[in-house]
Amino acid sequence: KYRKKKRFVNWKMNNFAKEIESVAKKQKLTSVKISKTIDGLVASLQKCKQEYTQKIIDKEGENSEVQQHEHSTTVIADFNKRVRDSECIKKVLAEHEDYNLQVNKLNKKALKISNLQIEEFSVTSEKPLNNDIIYQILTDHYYRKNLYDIGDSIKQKTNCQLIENVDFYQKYQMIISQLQQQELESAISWAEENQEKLKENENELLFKLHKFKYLQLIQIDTSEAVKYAKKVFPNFTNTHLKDIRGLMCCLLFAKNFSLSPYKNWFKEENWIELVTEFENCYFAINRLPTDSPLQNSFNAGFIALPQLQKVSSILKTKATEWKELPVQIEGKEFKNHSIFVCPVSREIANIENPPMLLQCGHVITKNSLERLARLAKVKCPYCPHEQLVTLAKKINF
Amino acid sequence: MEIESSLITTPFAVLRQSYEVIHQQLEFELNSMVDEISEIESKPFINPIEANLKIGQIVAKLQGLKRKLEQNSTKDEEQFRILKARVEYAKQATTNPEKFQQTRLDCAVVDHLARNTYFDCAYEIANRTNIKNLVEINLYFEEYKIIQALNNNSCTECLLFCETNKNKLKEINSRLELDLRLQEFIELVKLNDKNSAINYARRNFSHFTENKELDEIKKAMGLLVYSNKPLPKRYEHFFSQERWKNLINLFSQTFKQVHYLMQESSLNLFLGLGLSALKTEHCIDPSQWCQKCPVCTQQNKNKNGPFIQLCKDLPLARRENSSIICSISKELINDESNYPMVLPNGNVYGRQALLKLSQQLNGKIICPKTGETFDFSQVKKIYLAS
Repeated sequence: KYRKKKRFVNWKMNNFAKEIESVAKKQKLTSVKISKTIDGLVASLQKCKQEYTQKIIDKEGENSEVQQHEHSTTVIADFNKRVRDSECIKKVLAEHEDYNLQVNKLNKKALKISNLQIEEFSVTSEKPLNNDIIYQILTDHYYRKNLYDIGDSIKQKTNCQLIENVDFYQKYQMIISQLQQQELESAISWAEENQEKLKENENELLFKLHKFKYLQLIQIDTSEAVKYAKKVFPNFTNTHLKDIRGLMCCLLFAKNFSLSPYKNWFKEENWIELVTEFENCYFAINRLPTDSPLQNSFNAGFIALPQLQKVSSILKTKATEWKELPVQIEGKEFKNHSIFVCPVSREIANIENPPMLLQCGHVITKNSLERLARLAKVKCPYCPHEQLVTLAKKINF
Repeated sequence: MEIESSLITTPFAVLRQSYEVIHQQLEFELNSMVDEISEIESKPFINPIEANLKIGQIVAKLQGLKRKLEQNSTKDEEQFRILKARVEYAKQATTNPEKFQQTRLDCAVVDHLARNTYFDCAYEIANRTNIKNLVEINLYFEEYKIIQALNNNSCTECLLFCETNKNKLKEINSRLELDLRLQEFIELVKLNDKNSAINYARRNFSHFTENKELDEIKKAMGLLVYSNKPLPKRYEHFFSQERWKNLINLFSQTFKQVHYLMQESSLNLFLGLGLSALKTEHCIDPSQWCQKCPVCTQQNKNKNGPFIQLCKDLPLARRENSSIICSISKELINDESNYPMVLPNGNVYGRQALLKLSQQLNGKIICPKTGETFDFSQVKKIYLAS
């Protein structure tokens, strides 16, 4: 169904493009015609002028003044008559109006194709977003996209603060491009510098990088690999002992990894995973998302709008008065946080009102549990199971 | 349709203006040519030198008209080219969505910067990202120039705008011209130049015929009575500077209407909507920080992130169904293959992550949050009934 819609939209656009083309041609044609008409008028008038000039020269001649004038006026009268009879002026104006009619038709078509009913759904029309923060976000967005000159230009002209310095992104570009060439040095040194913060997020990145380096070294020179292992692995014996054991055993298969039980470790695709993981860690340290948040939030607006437009007929309040959007916006982009909505009360669970697990396996919020309770017992709203209220357990997501 | 409201409609506003200007000139010049020729014809004893001169003048005017026509035609051709480029861009929405989304954002950024008078920046970005045909920076610059003039208490430029667009202003029942004329009249009264004020009123108020308009004019005319005396309370508002501010706002609104532009920037509108749709109560809590959520950007204990600050007044997203993310795999928990399972300590994870863990640890599970060890058999499926 989506593909059908796509094709229909493209067909509409192509039709519209063809109509634009035809009106554009009409414009050129009209312009040329009018130009030609004016040229014709100018030429005729020049001829009249010539006749007069001739008369002035002949003035020295025999013809009396009266005859001259009579002669000259016929030239002008002729011209006037010709202009009136040919109705060229009327035709010119009519041609021009005709062109305008076509432009108007096309205009109406354009209005039909465009999404005009947008502004009534704006939540910011009375209180526009804070421009200072917007400029910050814009600068940051262009830094992320490697367009440092644009970012600098915005920062300079608007005098805004920065979310992150340019070096943050430049360093990122450098490390990533090296990682994509399977060079690990800069990534490893970054991970070592930031090991504290990485550990806070329970992160295995540093060990993983060492592992990749070690596996690279094995394929070149096993004694180098052993030296490297001796240098770095001792720090990870508490956490990654099993992996380290396996890595050391790899030495036995130095000649032929495809025979070893560790052949998965040597897959090329692992590098792609590593790059993704590095990206996520690099940004997570500063609590930043991996993709441009501006791009994602902006796109989200275009996903939300048609869903709001669909329910426009049942909206009771103006968009500027909403405390909450009138519909749930569907889309995986909006499912980032763990949100539990009680199936009974439609409340969102939070610290004061946590989700409670009943013995039958169903989950409702604490408030709903207390409301459904009769004395010390409660019956699950979904299945016939009854239990003591105190046996319900708080769960965490 | 993914086409923004102004993308393919604004060029028509420009085409309309150019048509009206040229059509008026065509009519005027051609008809006056006929009149002048008839005048020469009607004088049979005219001096040939004089006649020559007159014809020469007529020819010059016609040639001037032709030049104007050609200039105008070039501008119109440009508008059609722009229209075609924009339709091509709109088609990209289905053929190359990712590029389309990036271009769409670039257009919104340039539009926003131009609306806020950062024209150099806007031009720079438009050139760099190749979107010159998709944005109208020069329109905003025109608007800015007229607003500057109004800031300097000059209505001339704005009246020119009204003249160029008089048909469209009539269509939308705009009171812009009335307000401008009233303001110029009031300024003359302020200078105590009653004669000029009266002459101005005679010249310019006569073509207003609506009752509402006439009422306003009558009220303003009352000002003429009070020359050196202080104004009574009910006339004070005529002399306030607020009127200029209101004029500027009205002009700005009308300018956008005439050119089919939105009243607020598309960046504002869609970013606001998007943030609203993404905003949850969890985003404010730094301990619930999620990397995928744009609103959570840079949210930590000491300072609110920029996106949270931006959307603090915006409505929350509405949630009618649960959506749980497994904190191990960061995948969405659903009812089919990745259903939720609870450990004896009350922590819930997705089945797939737990399976993977138990495979690595020979049937045991270590809870990532608390470090406690359990057996896989102790883990139970739960039902969220979403």
